Amino acid sequence: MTWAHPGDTWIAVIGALAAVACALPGCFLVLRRLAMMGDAISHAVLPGLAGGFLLMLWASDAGSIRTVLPWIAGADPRHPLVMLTGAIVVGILTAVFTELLHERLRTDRGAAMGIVFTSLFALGLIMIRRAADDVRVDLDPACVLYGSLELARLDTLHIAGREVPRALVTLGGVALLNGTGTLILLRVLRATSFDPAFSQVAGLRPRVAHLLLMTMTAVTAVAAFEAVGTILVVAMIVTPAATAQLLTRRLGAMLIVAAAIGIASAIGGHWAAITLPGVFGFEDTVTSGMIAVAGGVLFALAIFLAPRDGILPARRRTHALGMRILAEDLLGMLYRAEEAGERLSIEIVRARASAGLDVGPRRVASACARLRRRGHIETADGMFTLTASGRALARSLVRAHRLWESFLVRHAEVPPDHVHRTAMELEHVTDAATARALEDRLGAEALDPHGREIPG
Amino acid sequence: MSVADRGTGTVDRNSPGDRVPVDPASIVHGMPPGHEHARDAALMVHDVTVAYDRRPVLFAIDLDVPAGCLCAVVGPNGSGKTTLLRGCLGLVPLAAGHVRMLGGQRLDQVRADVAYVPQRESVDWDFPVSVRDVVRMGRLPHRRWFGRMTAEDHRRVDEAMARVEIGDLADRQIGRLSGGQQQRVFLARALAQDARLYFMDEPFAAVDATTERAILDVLRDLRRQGRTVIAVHHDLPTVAAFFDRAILLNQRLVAYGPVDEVLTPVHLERAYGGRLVPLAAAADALRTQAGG
Repeated sequence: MTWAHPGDTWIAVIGALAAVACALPGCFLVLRRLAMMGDAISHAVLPGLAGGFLLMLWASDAGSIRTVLPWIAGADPRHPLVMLTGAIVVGILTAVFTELLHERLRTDRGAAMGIVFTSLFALGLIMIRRAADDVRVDLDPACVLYGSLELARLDTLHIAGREVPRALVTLGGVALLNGTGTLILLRVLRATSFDPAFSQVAGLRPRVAHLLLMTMTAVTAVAAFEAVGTILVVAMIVTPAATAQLLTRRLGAMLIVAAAIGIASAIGGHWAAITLPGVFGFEDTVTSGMIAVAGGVLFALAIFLAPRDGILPARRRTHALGMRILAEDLLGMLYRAEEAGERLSIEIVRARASAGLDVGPRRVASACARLRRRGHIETADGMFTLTASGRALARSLVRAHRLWESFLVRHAEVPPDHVHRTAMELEHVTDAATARALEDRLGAEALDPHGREIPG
Repeated sequence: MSVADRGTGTVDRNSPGDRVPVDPASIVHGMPPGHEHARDAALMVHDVTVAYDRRPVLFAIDLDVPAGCLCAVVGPNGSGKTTLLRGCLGLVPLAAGHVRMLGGQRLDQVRADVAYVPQRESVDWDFPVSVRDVVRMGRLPHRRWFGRMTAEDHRRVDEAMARVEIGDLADRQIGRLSGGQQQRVFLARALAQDARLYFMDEPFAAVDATTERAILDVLRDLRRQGRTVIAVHHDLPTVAAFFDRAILLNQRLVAYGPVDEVLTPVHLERAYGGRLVPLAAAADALRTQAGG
């Protein structure tokens, strides 16, 4: 299958709006280590829908309520507004109950969430059975769990003479609401998430901020469940935020990057949903699932490639450092040989490096290649010679090495036969200013503890 | 105490019915029962008891801290030092008693004038904020939820960072700082607030010598300006050098007053029990030093 206008575009746009709406509160949940609160709150949708429905059914039957609120008799208990309000209320209650269990009874937050949302969810299943038996209304739990982006597109509204999917309007509205809310509350949410105790003393009311964040999460989960289902809402709340956390150092940047990653996984997920089945030879797959997979793939990429915390950049930095140290050690070796009037062949360099520095021939070869590339050494007749720049660099290294040896012997009272290893390490991190300072401390000293000249 | 009280955020909670009986003889150097509190005290703690569930952790603490002094809170682990701070700041509910600040006012009335420096370990230093972001939080007590940061706010933030020499780190993420630098960020946040009463929880814990000098310098500046600092302090040998007054706790108030009157061998023995004979000797040595 290929991307077909406008159907596939609508699906991708609805998915992207859901992802943006979810990513914004998601960042704060991840930073507050409450990521699974998204899961708990989205599961509250089911009992919320059923509860709203049954409550309206009961209210329209009860005579006393009908006299107080006459309009209720004519209201349709299946009206989406009734059921969605129920879902939002139960979502917020989930957060409140979890906090109560955690604070009053010292239940671990994760355990508290597990208790509250599974209980409410089970209650919801029972209520749905009851509703089905009593009034022959069919609420399908599977629909609530998995949702359907493909069907959400078909439920349309007419706005200004154009047919627009209803989900586009609700999710667009919620994305806009969350964007504005985050912008207005950014300062408060940042302070209360980072340091709740300080915030409370400062009079910021971290509990109110927490409740607002939970409300935002509940509204978002309710708006998004039709399209992506209550389970995949969790992927949209947690994954882009966790990925953005790996890539950024500032809260504002994290929010923007999380939203962008959400959009990318929505578009990429839908593209994968229509492309991959053809490639692998099966019938079809669902977009909401593929969006979650795309989010997971982006997260995995970030784990490996994130510039600061990624596994590969960190390994490359370690490798580059090791290479620099080895190359510098080889320069020192050539310089000392020159002092002694010898010239070294590649075999001798390799042998000495493996004996003295404990490195294999391949690393020596690539360090030599690096030095040659930078114009520090030349080869002639199988022999290495230092160029002018190589000699200058080598001299400063040997100078640092011998200054440190003298310093350690004279001022740190280390025995002369124990200072070589330490100086080997220090010479690589000694800049010109440090070397000068060492020289000042040592006074006019021309020779190191082993009687060799300290180059100037 | 009633569990339902927890977290209401007020310090003014008095439930005399639950009051823990106090043995007046246990207060070696505190206020006698029924005494008058000083009207102009920077901090007035009246008969404060704090309990977690049904287990009281602080009994009948009663003291006045005068304005313009540096006051240490000392005592063994689990003696309620941090709890005393948190109780004063409304972060744990009081089972009994009340706290007044800056001339008899409730915390709610003077929040902008009361700064809090929590323990460094109490926050997540990987949080995506810069040094400047954190120091700016010090202006929040003046702005609350929606007030815009003014030029004055920005100036105070810059001054506070310069004061503890972290101006050049302003845009760095806080996780990429040394422990001492992190402690100075917290201190700068409190300085930016421009408060009159400072509560600090272990400001000297595990900092390098440079930071220790910088913090001490700031504390002495604050005292010179007539401000008051109440700091939990772990290191007995430096109490006399750093502070004017000391609150010695071991769930009860063991002693309170000028440092050299509080850290006597008798009081230390009472607070720390037999565990602290060498420390008591150290305090003794310090006392001679301070006297001589």
